[in-house]
Amino acid sequence: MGVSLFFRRALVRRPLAKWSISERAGGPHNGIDTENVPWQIFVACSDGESVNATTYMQLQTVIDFEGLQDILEMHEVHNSWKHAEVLNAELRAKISQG
Amino acid sequence: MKTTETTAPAVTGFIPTGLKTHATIIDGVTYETTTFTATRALVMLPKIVNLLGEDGLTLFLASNDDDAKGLVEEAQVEAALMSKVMENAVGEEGDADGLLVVKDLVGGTISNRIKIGDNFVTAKIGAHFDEYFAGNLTHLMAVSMWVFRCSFGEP
Repeated sequence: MGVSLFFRRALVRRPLAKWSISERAGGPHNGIDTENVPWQIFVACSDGESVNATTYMQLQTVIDFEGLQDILEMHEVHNSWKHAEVLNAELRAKISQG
Repeated sequence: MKTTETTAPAVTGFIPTGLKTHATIIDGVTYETTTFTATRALVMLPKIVNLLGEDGLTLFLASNDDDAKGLVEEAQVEAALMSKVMENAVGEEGDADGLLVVKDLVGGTISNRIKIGDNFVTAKIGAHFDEYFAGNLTHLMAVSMWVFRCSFGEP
């Protein structure tokens, strides 16, 4: 199945800039993945520490597929900012150490 | 083909926004459908993709109803599509449960030509699916395509 044939709404969205995160890749421990919950739902409802039950409920009642993609995009951007803050802090630490 | 788009009242009442409702006229019948919720869409998508296959999916996502319907009305295209759908629908145990996804897809859509007794009423297709589309697979395809595009493409 060609990816280009998948959902048009996903296809016409402008792609985000590429960024990499090293949180889970930084070590050998990866935890587990969902088995029964679509990963998009998990990502949309999780802030990395807890699950937002309100969002979970809304995804089953009033948020459509397009809305889900908006939420995922916002998560992606927010995560990139948090990661950038960590990298910037590491950079400042290195500079201050001389 | 006249298609309109509105925002339905919130289903649960505690959120000020709601799912989009779409309306169209196909073969003189007025249809109204509400965009699937994200969770429902994610559950249905793999089943639909498996049922339609790559070519069928391309057809279902055709840019507009007239294009799609024109293609389906070509005997060769209809035969090829139905053949592929039936092939994909038959499970390992020889049943055709895969076709139930089509019923699930259009079941929540409202039609103004549901026949009850001698009268036509406006109601959801769901419980009337078999009688409603009996002998009119081309119309079923046209309605299915439109409903599919409402949630996954551009209606």
